[in-house]
Amino acid sequence: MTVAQLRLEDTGRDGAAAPFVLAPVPPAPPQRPASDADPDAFIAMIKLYDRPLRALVYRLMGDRHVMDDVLQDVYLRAYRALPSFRGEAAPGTWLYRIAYNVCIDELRRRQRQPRIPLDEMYDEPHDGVDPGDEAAMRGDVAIALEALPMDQRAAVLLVDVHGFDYARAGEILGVPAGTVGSRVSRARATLRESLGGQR
Amino acid sequence: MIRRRRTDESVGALLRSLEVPEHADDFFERLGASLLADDEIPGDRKSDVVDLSVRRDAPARSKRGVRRVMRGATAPAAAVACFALVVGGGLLGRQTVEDRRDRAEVRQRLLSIQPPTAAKTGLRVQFRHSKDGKTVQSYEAVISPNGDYHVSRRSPKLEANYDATTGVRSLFHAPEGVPVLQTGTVPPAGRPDRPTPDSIGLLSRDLGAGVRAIAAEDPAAVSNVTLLGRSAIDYVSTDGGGAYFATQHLVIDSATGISLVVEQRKADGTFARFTYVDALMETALDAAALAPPLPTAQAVAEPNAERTTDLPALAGALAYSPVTPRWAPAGYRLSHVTFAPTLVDVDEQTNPSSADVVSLVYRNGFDSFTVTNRRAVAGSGSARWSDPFLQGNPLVSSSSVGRVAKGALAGVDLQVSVSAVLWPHVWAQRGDVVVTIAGNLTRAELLRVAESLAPYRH
Repeated sequence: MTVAQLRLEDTGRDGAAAPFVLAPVPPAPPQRPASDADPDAFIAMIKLYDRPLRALVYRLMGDRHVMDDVLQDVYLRAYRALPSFRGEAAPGTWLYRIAYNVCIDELRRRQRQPRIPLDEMYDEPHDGVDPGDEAAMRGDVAIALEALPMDQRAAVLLVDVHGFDYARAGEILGVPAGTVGSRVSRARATLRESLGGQR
Repeated sequence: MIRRRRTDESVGALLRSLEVPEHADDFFERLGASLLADDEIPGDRKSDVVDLSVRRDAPARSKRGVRRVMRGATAPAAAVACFALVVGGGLLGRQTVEDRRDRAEVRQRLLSIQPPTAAKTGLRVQFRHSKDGKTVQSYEAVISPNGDYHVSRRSPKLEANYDATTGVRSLFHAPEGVPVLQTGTVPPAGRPDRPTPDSIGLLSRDLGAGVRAIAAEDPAAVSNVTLLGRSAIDYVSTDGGGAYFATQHLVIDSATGISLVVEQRKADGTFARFTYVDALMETALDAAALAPPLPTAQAVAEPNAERTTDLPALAGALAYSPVTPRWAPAGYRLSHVTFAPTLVDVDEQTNPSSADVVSLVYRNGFDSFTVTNRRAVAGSGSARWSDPFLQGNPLVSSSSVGRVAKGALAGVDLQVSVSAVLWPHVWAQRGDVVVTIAGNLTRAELLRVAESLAPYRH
């Protein structure tokens, strides 16, 4: 290994393997992600899915504190359920489904128990709109997204942001793929209209 | 049709660009505590609308599950359930102990997930690796004051964590969408010859050490610049000898010696660049962030079987008496000692194999230097030693040879190398023992350390 190879390709010029240099990819493990004695799989799942789940839950719930509460619940449920997870669905789909259902639970609970919006309980500034067109557009799309009905919002997020196809999104949402398609279609149309695009 | 797809795509792009909030600082701590306590789901959200595909014959894993069964049971069934609970108490107890142990482990591991984003004295950096002006990969890293780090790459997905307390490093990626977690210990800092490698390999400082040493000798050879709000040293070298690059443009952070920009251009004009692009040290940086403590585990199994130790423990076990410095620049303290019975770290075609390799690592904040003693194994490889740092690479290393006037190496020829391609270093052979000194030292400091070497006495 020589200095001619930049750091990111350096597998250890100094003898210490760089943390991000991939060794040959090991054989893919079976779909079943964990067992009772396999905390690695649980940690691995969280590491893989935490960021996308944050992205989803935050946009569904609209508050980062609620996002944290929901994800606490999601991970606890996932951990408890891992031993009985049979790998019938992909781990990601399974985890997303838990997350979506916990969000639904939480929304129903909040509807039953009106409370002071969290935004009003904290002094922290609300996520504002940054200056600049791009940032302003992001602010617009965030507002437009928030205005969508929950089922459409979830569908368009799962498909357009998280990359699920209709079938897998349907598994998560508990609806047929066709229903996902129509929800996504309606959501996109609303968003385009809100952002001044063409129908 | 095309227009509509474009609009959908642009909306999708906007959706994907939306902010993703970080967790609260204590998120994983809370989660770990909840797992360990095996408590109820936080708050009053107890709905079980989630179909988790739990097998009907799955064993109950919590008191909560038992209670749920009891609530829905008829009186006779409840009695049977109570009996089963009492009779099966032993088994249930064992499960609980194992379960708690698992949960304790998970809790511990969870704490390492959370990037220390809120660390006031931490370091947040973004790196970009580009070729011919096009980004190849970009990384984000967060390093806490105690040396924990979290490195992430968005595409392809990759995450790396390092727990400086335990020395455990985890590499996480998802080939073909299936998450794979690889964990292992990091070899303790202080590999033979080279100074302390940072736990995070991105924070390379060998080139910076060379540039700083060059700047100390010849201030006119470098330019002082400001980059990302940091005082930096700008230097262009041709030390690659043309073999790998024609010129190497370096911008080195003055305070830490970290390479902020490494741009290597070949004669044909192509170039590769590694650069910090954003948020470099946006907060006050604690020196400890780049000089993480060693793992507490003393025995680290690595291919070369190097491990931390101390000199008294080695006394009498070596076939030679290692030399140790009696002088070091102000601020340096012995950090630790490593030992490897044998090593084939050096190119055998160039140099013999090594035995009884002892490295003493000295640290001063971000900076470090290493003094290594090794015994050449007779009959292996070349009979004569050449610069252990070159390892056969055709790099131009501005070196000079002088004779040591004082200390244990008095009368021995010493080769000194200060360049922008390798750690500044000196090396000498005394009989079958080879001594190297390398690190964040100037040429004058290297020589003074070399002259202060004396046989170790227990």
